[in-house]
Amino acid sequence: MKGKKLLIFLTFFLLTSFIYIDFKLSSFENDVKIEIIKLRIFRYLLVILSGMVLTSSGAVMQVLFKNPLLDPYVLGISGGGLFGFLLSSILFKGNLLISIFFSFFFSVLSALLSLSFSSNIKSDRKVSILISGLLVNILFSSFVILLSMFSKRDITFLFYALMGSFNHVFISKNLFLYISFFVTVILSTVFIIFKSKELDIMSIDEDIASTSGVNVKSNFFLILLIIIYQTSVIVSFVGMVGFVGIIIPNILRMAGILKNRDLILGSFLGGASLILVADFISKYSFSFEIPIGVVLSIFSLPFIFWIVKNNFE
Amino acid sequence: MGKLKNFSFLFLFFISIFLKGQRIISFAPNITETLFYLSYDRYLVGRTSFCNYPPNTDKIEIVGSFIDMDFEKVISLKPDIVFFSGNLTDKSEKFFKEKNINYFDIKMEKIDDVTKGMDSITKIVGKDYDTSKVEKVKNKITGIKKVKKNEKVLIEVSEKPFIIATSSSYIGSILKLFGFEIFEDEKPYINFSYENILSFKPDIVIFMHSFKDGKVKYSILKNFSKVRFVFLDDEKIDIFSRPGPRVIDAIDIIERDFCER
Repeated sequence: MKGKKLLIFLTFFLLTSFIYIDFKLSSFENDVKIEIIKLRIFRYLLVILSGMVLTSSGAVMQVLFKNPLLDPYVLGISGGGLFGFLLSSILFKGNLLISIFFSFFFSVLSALLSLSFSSNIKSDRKVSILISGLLVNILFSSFVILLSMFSKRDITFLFYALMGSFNHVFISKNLFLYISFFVTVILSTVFIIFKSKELDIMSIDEDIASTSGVNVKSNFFLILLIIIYQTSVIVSFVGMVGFVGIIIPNILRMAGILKNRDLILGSFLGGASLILVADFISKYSFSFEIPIGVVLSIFSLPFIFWIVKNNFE
Repeated sequence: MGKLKNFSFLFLFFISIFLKGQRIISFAPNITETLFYLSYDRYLVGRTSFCNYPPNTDKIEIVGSFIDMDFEKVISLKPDIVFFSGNLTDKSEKFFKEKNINYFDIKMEKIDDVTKGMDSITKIVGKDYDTSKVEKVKNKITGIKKVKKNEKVLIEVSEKPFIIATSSSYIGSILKLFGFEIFEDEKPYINFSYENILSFKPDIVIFMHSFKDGKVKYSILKNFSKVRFVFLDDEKIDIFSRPGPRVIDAIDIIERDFCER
């Protein structure tokens, strides 16, 4: 990414980060300020990590499937992950490690279902993958609702699970697990950045990629598996957050950032900033917290319409 | 198990005595009403957005609701005690354990739970309160006379989905004491159907929602013209859905509107 563009993204990210952490901090008494900062920093880390991961995953998936409207939410991975998480939290009473394993397992299952449905739909590949992702999402969202009813959860729990919320409780005894998951998510993203050259070639043409010595199939499934892992970790903490992975990569492409390494790095900063702004709105707009997905959906709809208009006939 | 519960209850009670100035947060409207009734409102520093009675509650800070709690606001209010009323979620419990804040889930589901709940709250808060007020509630409840026999009451809570309050609900348990026949079930609120209406054959239908066309579906009853339909306004809905000191008002309303015809 060219220096000027990177500087703009970085400045915006730092500015939103500062406002997010510092907002009305002076209104709190000194003895609770440290506790408030602690709460905010944990939430801030979760927000930026989610923004970075979901957006870069969206950017990579769009390259893998050659479809500008794909992200983990649209492909149904998030729906499967949420179902797995909820199932394990009922069966194993909230053991984080098992929950993330379940979330990962069902995310893989939902991705396989989407791919299998897609290959059986006689239509343009761009459209078929969207339809199959939608079907899988509806299927797992219905399972989530059913499971919530069986476990007698409050209906508002469903709002926050299906539309996402960063109002998460961090427990100090789980600190090692949090760090482990967060580090693996970051490392896996770094791995994808290292694979960005292969992605560049794959995005041009699969045949050219094959003749250039890139193993298209193994790279495709390896990268998809990494994205599924990252998504299942995020979904286990915040529920389903959609569309962020579509908006930012497309804005970056419009800004002329086409190389995958730059796109992923730009998505990191752009995604984190967008989610920070959205979470800020969701947190402070009313006396109650709006699910993050509601804020994102309202603001991103016109943009998604624009992408559909320009990419599908 | 019971002894262990009593012991931990006593332990927390003694801890609460030694706390200097109590700062209380209520995460349930009926608990807020009870705290005000017992003159504990001077210790109340936080409430939910649903806590709207008595009118003075608007001076208390809102800390979200029991499901979307504002953790920052809770911490900033430095509470000594946090009250729930059967609505404590796993997430809230995790948070209060992590932050070492005393929390209590005072379950007040039926009319019998009202005075028990009041007693629990006074023990936990451990401050002076007007004992005559609790006595007044107890006397009002024990003074209920069975005046109705074989009159069936159906309490409609929502139209879509069609949900009714049963004899295990707060309003159901009050009406039952007056001798009304309420749909029996272990759960306080259940899904209902047209078939259930036909088999139950209610004499009175109470609507605890604002959908005025709700009575159309009862036209399937043979005695439709004789069925009495009662629409509760928002204030009465709160009175009949929040187990707390306003049970006095609830009893008065039933005596006035349902028993004297």
